[in-house]
Amino acid sequence: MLNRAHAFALTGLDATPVEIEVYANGGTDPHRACFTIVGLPDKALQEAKARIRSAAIVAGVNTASSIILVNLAPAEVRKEGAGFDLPIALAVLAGHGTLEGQLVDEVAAVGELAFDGRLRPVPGILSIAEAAVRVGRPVLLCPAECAAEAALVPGCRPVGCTSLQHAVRILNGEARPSDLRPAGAPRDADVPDLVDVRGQPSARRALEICAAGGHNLLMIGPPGVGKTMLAKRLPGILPPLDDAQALLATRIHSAAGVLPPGSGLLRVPPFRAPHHSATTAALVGGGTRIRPGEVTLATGGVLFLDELPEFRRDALEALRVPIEDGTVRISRASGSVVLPSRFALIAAMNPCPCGGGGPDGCTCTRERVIAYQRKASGPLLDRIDVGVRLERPAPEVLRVDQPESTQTVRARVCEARERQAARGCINGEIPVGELDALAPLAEACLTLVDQAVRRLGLSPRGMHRIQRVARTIADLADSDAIHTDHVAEAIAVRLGALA
Amino acid sequence: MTPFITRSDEAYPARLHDLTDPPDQIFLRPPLTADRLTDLLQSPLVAIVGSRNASAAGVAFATRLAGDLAASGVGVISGLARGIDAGAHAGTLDRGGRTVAVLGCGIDRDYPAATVPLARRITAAGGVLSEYAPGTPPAPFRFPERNRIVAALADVTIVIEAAGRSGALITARLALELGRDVFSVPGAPWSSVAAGTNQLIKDGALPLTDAADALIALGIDPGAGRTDDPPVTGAAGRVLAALRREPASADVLAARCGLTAAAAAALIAELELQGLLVRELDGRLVPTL
Repeated sequence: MLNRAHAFALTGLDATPVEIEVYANGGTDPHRACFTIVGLPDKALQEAKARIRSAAIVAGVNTASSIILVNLAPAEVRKEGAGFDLPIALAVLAGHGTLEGQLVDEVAAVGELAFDGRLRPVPGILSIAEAAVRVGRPVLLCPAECAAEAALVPGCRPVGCTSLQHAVRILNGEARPSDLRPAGAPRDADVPDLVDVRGQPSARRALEICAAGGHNLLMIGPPGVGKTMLAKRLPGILPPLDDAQALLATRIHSAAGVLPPGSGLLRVPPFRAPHHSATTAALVGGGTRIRPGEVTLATGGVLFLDELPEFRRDALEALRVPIEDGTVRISRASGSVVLPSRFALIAAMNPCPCGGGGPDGCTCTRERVIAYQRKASGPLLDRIDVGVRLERPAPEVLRVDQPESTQTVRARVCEARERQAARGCINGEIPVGELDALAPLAEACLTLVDQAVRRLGLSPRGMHRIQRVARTIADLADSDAIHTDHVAEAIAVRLGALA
Repeated sequence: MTPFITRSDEAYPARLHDLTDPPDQIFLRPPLTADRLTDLLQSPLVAIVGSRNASAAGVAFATRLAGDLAASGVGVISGLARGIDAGAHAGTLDRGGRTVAVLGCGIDRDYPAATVPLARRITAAGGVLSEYAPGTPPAPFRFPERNRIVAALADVTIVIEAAGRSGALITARLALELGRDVFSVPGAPWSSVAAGTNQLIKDGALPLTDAADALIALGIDPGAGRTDDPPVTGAAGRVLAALRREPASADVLAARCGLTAAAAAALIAELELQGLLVRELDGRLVPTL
């Protein structure tokens, strides 16, 4: 007899409803048994057969001699992953009379089966829950670990199941769903505090400017001076994600399968630090099953590229469009999706090929150092607004340096962001055409910028970057007007990025 | 056809005859002509040479010195290498002076790549010449050869920043052999880029710390072309004074002057834009004078 179940296929961040039709006939002759899945299943889905057969036995149904035909519709949508195990298994069991087919038809289901019938969590629950609500099947049978995540979607009624038998008994009204494990509190405590970074006042200031205006930062310094330490503290001084941003970030992490179970909504801006061996696909997204890349995972937060010169040049080139547009389009044979990619970029590099970390300092010639810094930052240099040089903290700096806490700095950053919100645009993203309206420069400031252009050979693009950063510095100083001090500091931090 | 002059031409610079091996011909990069060359090479003319791997402060000093000399009507000749040479050419052009670049390769070659934009400026406003026929590639042995022309054409030679075995020292020795005055800019004994210049002073070169030293030797009143920098006062003055005691990074400087990182950055940028300090590659800030 024919039964229906309802599942979802993930494409990028979105889930498409999939109707599962199952013809299952108990049969008697093991030699005529068959189990066929049609409708563009991937390898993992083909292997569902073994998992479903085994789990069914644990649930009391032997399918050794059954004829089972499974159709996944719409047929042209690629179906990937093990999340289809649970809905197919439920429909198969309904075909064998274990439960009423009508009950299965009314709900949506997702989950991977173990051989003993236990349910394993799957990625993308948030997207699936949103789709379930959208198509009018708010009751979602899912692994117990995933239920809390699904419950974040307004209107969704997740039913957490520990196993296939548990799911059957719940549908038959014989058992209660697992309790929703409460979503974890915002993980502010996990973000390290800026107060730990002693002896690097300029670098902390640069980080604050970048956080306040959404500017991109380049840190140049020998190994071990605290570049990574600083970068890890940026999420803490960024404003916490608002509801919409938090839901988006959580959905992205869920779809990529990197959301720790029970973590709840991501309120702390994400921090992504891909290794320098990362491929283009890993950075911008891709794969046969379109998976969000690091630029998408970093959305709302920070993308940290440590050892910038070690990254593959093509990978860095591929970052330029996502950085500029705030979105990334990934095209594959299976279709194309547009994913968000709005993040603060922090890049870090050694000052020279030798690293400069030896006891005698750097042994490179000036020309080699210049060539190294130019080549390294070349593809991304025109996307960098703020540069800072780090060195081992000198004792005289350590003596007087009094770092502020993350909380104090974040309060200033949030105030500066509010000033920007009132203008309608964060400073790092002010379009060139609106710069003079939103960040007007007085005569004295223009003189300073002109001097910088003439003496230091800045490009027009570099000029605009100075103007944006000066606006941010003025915002941090709670000043409506941009003063010469603000412009001068903007020029100073711009120069830090250049050899 | 690249214009050139031979030893028999009237425009052939007389001073080259002082050499034991004067070049047979001098190629001129258009629009430089033989007539114009004679004007360019008129006395007073000084050679400014030094390390290619000079410090930012060294280049800044070369630029400033060349500019001050140019303001007193002194022409500057050098070898269009990066570092000190490039600084000297640029400083002269910035103040509207005359400058001559002597290449160590064919007159039509763009070498070194780092000074190509500067070479264009010199071509337009001054003169580029070479003893090598068009197409001759740059080669290590040609640079010392070229240096003898630089030394011979100039009234005096000034060396700024030279390591122990710098090509600039060859120029200085050739100048001494030709009986021309040689000036050397002294440096700290522990500085590797000063080893050569300090040795020159021990060997009898005259120490030079500003344009006046050279101007007096050339018989020019040093007061005439001098431009005094406006005094730097207030916080910027304190910053500059601290750096003159000892160059430092931005953080160290802020600590010494009791400034916040933000305030220090703003002052540093202002001083840098006025040309009063430069940034070394390791991030240290060095006053230019």
